[in-house]
Formats: sequence, C-alpha cells, structure tokens
Amino acid sequence: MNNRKKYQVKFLPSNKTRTFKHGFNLRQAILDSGLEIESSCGGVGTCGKCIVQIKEGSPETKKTKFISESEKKEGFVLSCLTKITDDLVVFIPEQKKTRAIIDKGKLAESSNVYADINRKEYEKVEIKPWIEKVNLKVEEPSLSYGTSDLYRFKKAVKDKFNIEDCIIPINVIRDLPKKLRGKGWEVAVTIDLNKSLIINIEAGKKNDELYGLALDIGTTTIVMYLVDLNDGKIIGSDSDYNPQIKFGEDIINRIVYSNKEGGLKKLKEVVVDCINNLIWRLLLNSHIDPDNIISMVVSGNSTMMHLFYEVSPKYIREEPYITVANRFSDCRATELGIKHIENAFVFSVQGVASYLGGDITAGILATGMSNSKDLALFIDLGTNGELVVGNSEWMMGCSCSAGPAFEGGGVKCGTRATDGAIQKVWVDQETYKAEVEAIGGGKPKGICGSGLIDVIGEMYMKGVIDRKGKFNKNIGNQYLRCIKDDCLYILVEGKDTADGKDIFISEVDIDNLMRAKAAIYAGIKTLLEEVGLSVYDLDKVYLAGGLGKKLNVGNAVVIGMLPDINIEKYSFLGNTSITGSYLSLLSSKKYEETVKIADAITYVELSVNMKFMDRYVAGLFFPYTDLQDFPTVEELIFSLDNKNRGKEEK
Amino acid sequence: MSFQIPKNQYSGTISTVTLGDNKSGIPVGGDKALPFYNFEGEIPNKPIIAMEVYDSKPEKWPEYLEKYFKDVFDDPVKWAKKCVNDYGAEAICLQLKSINPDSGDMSPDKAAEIVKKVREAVDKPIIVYGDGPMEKISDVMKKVSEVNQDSNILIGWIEEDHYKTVAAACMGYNNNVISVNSMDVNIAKQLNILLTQLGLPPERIVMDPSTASIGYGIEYCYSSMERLKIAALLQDDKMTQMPLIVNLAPQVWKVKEAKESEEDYPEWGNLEQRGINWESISAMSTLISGTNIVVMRHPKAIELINKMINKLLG
Repeated sequence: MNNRKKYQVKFLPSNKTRTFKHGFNLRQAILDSGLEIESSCGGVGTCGKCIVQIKEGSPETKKTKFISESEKKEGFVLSCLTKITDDLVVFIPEQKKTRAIIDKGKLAESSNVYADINRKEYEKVEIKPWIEKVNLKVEEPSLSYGTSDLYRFKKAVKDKFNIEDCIIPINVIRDLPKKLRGKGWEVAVTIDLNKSLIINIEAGKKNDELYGLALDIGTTTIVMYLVDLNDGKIIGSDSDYNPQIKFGEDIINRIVYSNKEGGLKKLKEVVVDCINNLIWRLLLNSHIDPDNIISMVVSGNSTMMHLFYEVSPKYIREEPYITVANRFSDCRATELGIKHIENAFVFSVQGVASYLGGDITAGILATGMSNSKDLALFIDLGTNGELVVGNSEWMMGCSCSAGPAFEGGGVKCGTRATDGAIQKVWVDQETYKAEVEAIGGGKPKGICGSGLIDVIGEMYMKGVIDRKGKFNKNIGNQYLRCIKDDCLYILVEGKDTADGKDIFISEVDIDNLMRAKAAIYAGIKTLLEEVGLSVYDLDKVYLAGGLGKKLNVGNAVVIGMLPDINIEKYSFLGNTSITGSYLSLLSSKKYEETVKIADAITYVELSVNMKFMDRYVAGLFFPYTDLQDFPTVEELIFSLDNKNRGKEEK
Repeated sequence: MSFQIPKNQYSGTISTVTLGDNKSGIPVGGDKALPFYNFEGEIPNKPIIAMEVYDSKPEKWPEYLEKYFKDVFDDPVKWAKKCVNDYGAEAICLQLKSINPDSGDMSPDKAAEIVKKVREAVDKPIIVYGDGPMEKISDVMKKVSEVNQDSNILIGWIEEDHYKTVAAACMGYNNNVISVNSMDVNIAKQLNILLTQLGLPPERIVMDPSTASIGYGIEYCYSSMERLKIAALLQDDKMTQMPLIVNLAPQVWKVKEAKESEEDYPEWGNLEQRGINWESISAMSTLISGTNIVVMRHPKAIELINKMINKLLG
C-alpha cells in the first residue's frame, strides 16, 4: 500500500474540501478543517458521539457498539475510529449547539442574584484596583537641566507615589519621548502599584474612563464581565461554551489531549480565540474605547489555568497530582495572545491544589465565609464537586469526582442548561404523570442537571423508583415503558418536545446521578469528619455552579446529595467564580484576600481515603444507607400517602 | 487494686430468627456479645452447623468424601436422614443444584416437592439454597415457600436486584429469607432496609455475606462480617442485627487444596486430612468472625467444629 498517497475529503453540509494523507484520523481531519464534531471521550471511541455518514468512498473503520448494522449499511461510522484511506464525501450531522449557556439577560439576572444575596459583602468593597491611572506632570528638560526623559519621569513617579525605582518595560520607554512631548509634558500613567510597574503612558490628561474585565474560564463555560472601575458597575456580560469541549468534555480528557503533539498549543489557541470573541462582542455593545481597559482578572480550575497560560497540565493527572503553579505570573494581555485590549494587564486568582483551583478561591471570596465566624460549607457542583468547609479562622477543602451527570452528561436525554432544558419537574402522586418546566418556556428538548435532581427526587418521593433507583414496575404507572427488564419513564411525549422524540429517564440515567450524588455526600461527610464536625455544626451552606441557581434544595436533600439540615441554611450563589474575579478586579484588597484564602485552605486528598469509598457505596441508595442521617426525608416519605410504595407483587 | 479486665458495653442485640416448624423449631441468633464473648454478654443460642444435602447425585466429589454419602446419593430424603441420625446434623441445607437450567432445569413444583418431603422426613430445620440465574431461583423459591407454608424454612437467596418475589413469598407463607451481599456492609444494610420496608419482619432475615474459604479471600469476608457484628452490637445499628449464615461447603470443596491428589502434591500431605483441615479451619474463621449458621459437608470436620463450639460456649 502506498502510504504517501493523499486523499480529497469533502465535508457536507459545509462543502469544505481538504486533502489528507493516507491513514489520517477522520475526526482529527474534521477538527483540523475548522469544523465541529462532538466527542466527550476525546476521540477514543468510547462515547459514540462523533458519528458521521460516509456518502462516498470507503474508509477503513473499526466496529463499534454505537453503530447498528442498519446504520452501518447506510455508511454511518464513528469518525474517531475511522482512517482516511480513500477519497471521501463525509456528511457531518448537526452538532448540539455550542452556544452560550446563559444569554445576556440571564447573566444580568445572575449578577442581580449576587447583589441580592451578598449585598453586604458587595457594598463593603472599596473600589481600588491594583492598577491605577493617574495624571503626572513631568519636568521639562533644558540645557541647564539636561537629565534623561526616563530620569525625569521616574522622579515624577517618585514624587507622586513615593516609589523609589519604578519598573518601566522597554516598549513603554520606546514611546516615552513621544508621549511626554505630545501634550506638553503631561501624561496619564497606568501603573501597577503593587509591583511599581508602569504599564502604559498616554499623552495628556487621563480621561476619566477606566475599565476592567473579569473572566471565569470553566471547563464547560466561559463567562466575562466588562466592569467600570470607577463605580464597579457591570457594563456588559457575555458567555460562551469553552471551545476546548470538542477536544474532550472533562478535565482528564483535555489533559490527555494537551499531551499530544501540538495539543497544548491548540487548546490554548481555541480558548484565547473564544476570549477574544467575547471581548469583541462586549466592545461592540458598549462603545467604549478598548484602550481604557486596563486590567483583567481571571479565575478557573487549575487545569483551565494551565491551558490558558499554555503550561502543560500533565502532572495534574499523575500521582501525586501536582500543579506547575497555583498562580501564574501577572503579565500583559498581549503576551497571552489576547487582542483588542493592548493596555490591559492580566491577573489570575490563586488556586489551592490540582483539583481545587482559583475558581474555588474566588468562590470562597464571593461567599464572604473567610470573613465570618460562622461555620460554612461551600459546594461547587460540576463534573468535579469541590467542597470547602471553615470560617475566618481555618478552612479545609477537597474535591470529589462526581461525573458529568450534573451537566447533563451520561444521561440519555441529558443536555446542558440551555434553552429548552428541563429544569423543574413535578410527578403526580396518583397518575405518575410528570409535569415539566423548561428553560425559556418553550418546548423541552432535554433535561439538565438541576432537572435531573428534581425528577429523581420526585420519582423517589412518589414511589416511581425504589431506594436503589430501580423502577417499581407493578404500581400501574402508565408512563413506564418496559421491554423485558429495560424500562423507561416517559417525562414528555414526543409530540410535546422540540425534536419530536420522547424525553425519558432510564435506570442507567438514575445510576449515573446516583453516583454523582453519592460522591458529593460522601465528600461532605468525610471532609467534615476530618475536622471532627458533623453536618449539624454547619451554620451556612453555600451552593455554587452552573445549576446552583435553579437547584431545588429540597429534592437534592431527598435524594441524599445534600445533608438533611435546616433548609434555610442553604443559599444559592450561581457562578461564584466570576463573582470572585469581579470582586478581585475591583479591589486590590479583595485580590489579596484570595491569596490569603488559597493559603489558608488545607487540601484533603479523598482519592486515597477508605472512608470516602465506604460512604460512596453507602450513598448508592436513596437517600443514604444510614437512614438516621436523613430523619426529615424519612419522615416525609413516611407521611406521604404511598399506598403503592413497595407493596407490589404480594 | 486488682486488675479489671476491660469489657465492651453492648447496646444492640442480634435478632432471633426461629428456624423450623413446631416440632423442629430452634432459635438462631439473639447474641448480646461479640462471637464467643459470653464473658461479656449473653449468647443464648450457640451457632449451628447445617449439613448439606443435594437434590441429585453430585458430580466430582473425591472418593474420600463420597464414601460417607454414597449410599444415599439417590435420595435427598435418605441423605437428610443419614445426616441427622448418623452425623448429628442440627439443620439440613438443601442445595437445589438441579433447578439450574444448565444442569437439569428442574421445575419449581418438583423442587418444592423435594423440599417438602425432606422437611417432613426429618425433625430438623430446613435451609434451601438455589443455583442458577436469579429469575429461576426466584420462581423456584416462590413455589418452595408456598408448598412449605408456615414451616419457617430458611430460603436462599435474594439479592439487591431480585428481592421482591421471594421476599413477598416468604412474608405471605411464613418462611425466612437469606439476603445475600457480596462482602459489603453497605449493600447488606441496603438490602435489609428494602426488605423490612417491604414489610418483612427483621426476625425473618438471615444475612449471607458470600464468604469464601481460607486461601481464597477469607480475610476480606472476616472483616466485613466483623464490621456487621460491631455495627449491630456496639452501635445498635438495626439494619445489621440479622443473624449470619455462611454457605461454606461448596466454597471449600471446590478449591484445589481440598481436591488435588497426594501423588501430585506429596508435600501437602494426606488428602482426606487436608480436606478436613481446609473445611474446619475455614469454618472456625467464619464462626469467630460472627456467623450463626455454617453449612458444612465432611462429617469429621463437623465433629471438630462441634467440639470447638461446645468448648468455647460450654
């Protein structure tokens, strides 16, 4: 076989045509052609999502359980298991849209939520960023006063700030003579007071406008705020899916991809591209002068931070799970490839450990728990559940892998929290009919994490499923469709859904959520026990994460995910990572606080903790194997009129 | 001051399950102290040994084992009588091997009939274990319970994914049930919760932690049984207070140490003695880790274990 042979591959419906060498991986070819293809496993053939149809040509492909015989005959293959060994015409089915989770309206809403819940914390913030812009008058030189421009400039800085020897990068010096002489020796200087670093010099007096960006890079979502640094107002906000998703949906798969040749660079490029787009969109809508954006604070989990700074996250994944850095050096935005904001300086929020990143530090800052004597528990729900317990005197944190169920992954009809995602469910006690509420109010197209928690809580309470998450089959539930032992509980009939297909829950879906909730609760119990506390000692519980705002705490307690304590102790804060970076952007004091928080948190490794494993197994049960942990839930279940509960097959 | 031996304070009690009907009934469990710790608390009922009886002639038994039962292989009733009369069995454990679709596919009616005949022939409690896929076991045991109504036989087994049919049949016809878990305290508790919520009284449940023989992971079994007993007695955890049964014989007699000939392994010593040792040491381990019923096969090993129990518990 001639391995040097090249083939033409045409992609439909985009009609893009490119040439690839013999044996090139088809999925990679699609990505390299700038097209999108879903693949949560990162292209190893285990998720079955990167399905394409070969219209012409016969490539070499491997057998897979995801493609049925009839589909095979129609030319369907998994692109990641297919090699280009022929000229091809490939049809790429429409991919689930990687569009913003939260549109602008909703983001504004979520910042209001923040303002409502944490108004006290918010109002206390004294707006005083690291980076300031000040007017400076530099002495004019003369024949009798013939010192250098730089000398006289530094002298002016010293007189103003009492900074002995400020640092001036060479690119600033290059512009210095022009800027000084431009408006009669008056300049506006952007200075990082913490490091005595001159960031920028402009001719003439400063205009009063001053802006900054707060950025949260999540594994799934990227959120950005444009902030007026004079009054702290959020002028605009925008968000987008993290485009790295196509290289793997979770952190581990991204790390794997970053280890491939060119992988790290690629991951960095796509995330920076996305950030540039967000900045561009915000600028378009706000009509501000980008030169007035002087700083950006970024938070994210450790892996996301590594990828953003193009530092290999390889060792995060290998025992003993070590980061390269928990905070990366402050630098100019341009050094990171960020466009549009040439004057801006970038800071990142310090993380704690490999699996407890700056997003959590920022989250703690947002809750204010590090300033309070109240004992609080912070829970960030996502693919990794991160937990921090403590108060102003001490803090301990851990991370437990919950799986993708909270984000709609691993669930047949799962979806992310976009428009059309079911976020609330009620199940009728008598008829077992489900009533749903979808985000946006339109026809539902899938079920997101909070909807999943809701539906499982409802199903358990109303007797549709038993404590093991298995369907009760003989209770006359007409919404249960069974083929032999495989049952589906229909939430919404096809005629009422967006794509005409039934939306249902299977026992496998329940299992996946069961595992996720078991990990969270086992983490909470284990972490508290490490410090000799019980859930009843907690004064407050803060919930964060993409589903935090919509989460029905009652049902989360019913399924045994959250401890059975006074429900009023719970607060929802939504995305706390962006709130934390927003606060850090406004105030250098707040930023310093994040460093203190990160230093104060002791990290507990759960992956080697036997008790965690034991509790995890105990958690594979509704609500929990030790029923006395959930007295209120037990009472509730008991008091419900469950004439059908468990009485079948007698 | 004289030395005081420290004593555990027990807050819980193992529940008492009655095995057998009016004429054969004996109580099992009721312990108020850890196994054989009768110096710390009352152990009202000694652990019992149940002897195996098969529903058909067993295959591949070594000659030295076969010789004790050869004459009764053809008839489970005769076999059971021999166990009781000649070897002093305290209970009969019927191993329903032939119900397995791969080795006879005996019908539920036939199996239930065998159980009934054996039960009527001996005045000792009956324990029944099925073999094969869970669906078949459930079908058979439902029938077994129905045909042997009100006789407190101990019916095995049910597991997490298949518990409703048999549990309901035991509840309806007044028999006891064996809840099997795979050496996992959490799973054991979960199954007990499911069973009791179904309405089965805790006094009708005996737990089987799927114990292995020595050399094949008994350490793990030991600690999971120990954890169950500690949770039951010291922490008064109701869902772990059911007595334990260990279906040991099939585990012991399938391992090579109990089967390989002296010619092949001269350094292992006399084959029969080796088998007896293997079974009795396995049985001792399960007893001191807390089992209330142990299912055994070799008469000599049984004799030894009886001695041990009587010596330790007077």
